Amino acid sequence: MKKTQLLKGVLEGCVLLIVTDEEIYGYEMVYRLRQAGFTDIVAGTVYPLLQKLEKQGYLTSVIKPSQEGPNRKYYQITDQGRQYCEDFIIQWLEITSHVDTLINKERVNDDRS
Amino acid sequence: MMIGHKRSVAHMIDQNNQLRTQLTKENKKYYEDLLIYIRTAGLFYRDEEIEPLLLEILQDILLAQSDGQSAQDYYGQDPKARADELIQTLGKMDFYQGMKLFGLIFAISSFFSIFNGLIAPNTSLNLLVLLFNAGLSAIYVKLIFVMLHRSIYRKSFGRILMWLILSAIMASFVFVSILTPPVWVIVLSDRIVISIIVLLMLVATTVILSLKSGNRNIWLPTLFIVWMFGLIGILFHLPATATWMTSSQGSIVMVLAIAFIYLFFTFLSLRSLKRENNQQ
Repeated sequence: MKKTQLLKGVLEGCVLLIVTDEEIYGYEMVYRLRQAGFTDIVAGTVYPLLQKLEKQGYLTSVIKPSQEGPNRKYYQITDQGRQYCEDFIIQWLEITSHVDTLINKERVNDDRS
Repeated sequence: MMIGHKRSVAHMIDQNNQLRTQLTKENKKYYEDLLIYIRTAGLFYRDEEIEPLLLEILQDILLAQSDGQSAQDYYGQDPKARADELIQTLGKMDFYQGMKLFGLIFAISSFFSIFNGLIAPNTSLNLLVLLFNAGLSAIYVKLIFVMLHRSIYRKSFGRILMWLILSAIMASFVFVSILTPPVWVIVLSDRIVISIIVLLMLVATTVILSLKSGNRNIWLPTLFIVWMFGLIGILFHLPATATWMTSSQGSIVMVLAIAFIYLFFTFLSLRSLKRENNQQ
């Protein structure tokens, strides 16, 4: 199975989780995702996500000067985005608990045979 | 408000041109391919949406570069697939913006059609040709976009095929002016023809001189050719010179003059292109 297929749906939630705490620009987003363990993530995957989330109203953006000087596009989460995040966390916990149960059952069966 | 909007797009393109010079050779190639690929994705995507994105990506690639990452490490091994994903998220122009774009194409194409029609010794103008030429120009621009877009991430795109298609379209402009039936022909007096030529020369001069310095240098040779042909057009329609211009002596001088103008135009164009390249 391709790793990216599983990843894509999850990544939107992760991007929103990262931006929940503070506003952030594209480069930082890629950096944070890689730091969180998604080491294979490339920016080419992240920009379309940011673009999509902004269009859907989960993110907004402002242009303002950065610490390094030039004006940058900073992403902020919207109320709608926060709601999406909460839903994402609940669904994620549900899914992982189901998948965990299945994985553990398989292991028990494997141990028995 | 529209003006402010436009200016900021021009400002972003300017900023993009400047920042690109800071990229390493390898990163520059990677980013510029991406840039052309996205800019030529379609005629109806909005600059107000594309340019901020391109600038954002460029700024981030520069940050990655200063952190010791190549553009490819940062943006990905398969830029075409990543760019396609990005293009899918873009919105299209609304009807009003689309009409404005076609209006611009119509204006530029008509400028050259009218100019072309009037510098000859005749004094009639076929309006149907103007319409056909505008339609052809739109197709021409679209085709150049498609060809550029497709050639970026393809190793051996048929260059000969590309030139054949472009030449065929250029030829079609000539055929249109010859074959279009004289339905909407207006006949003008010499005085009106001269006024229109002078007006068009003034419009071209104002537009080109008001461009930003980089763009202005690229268009200056065109301005030169507009002035030269305008002058020839005026001589054809001034009673004092018209007879001489159509005599065999006048014709020979004219052919030599036109050949010289084209040579000088080519020289000026090459020089300004070279200068542009050196600046980058």
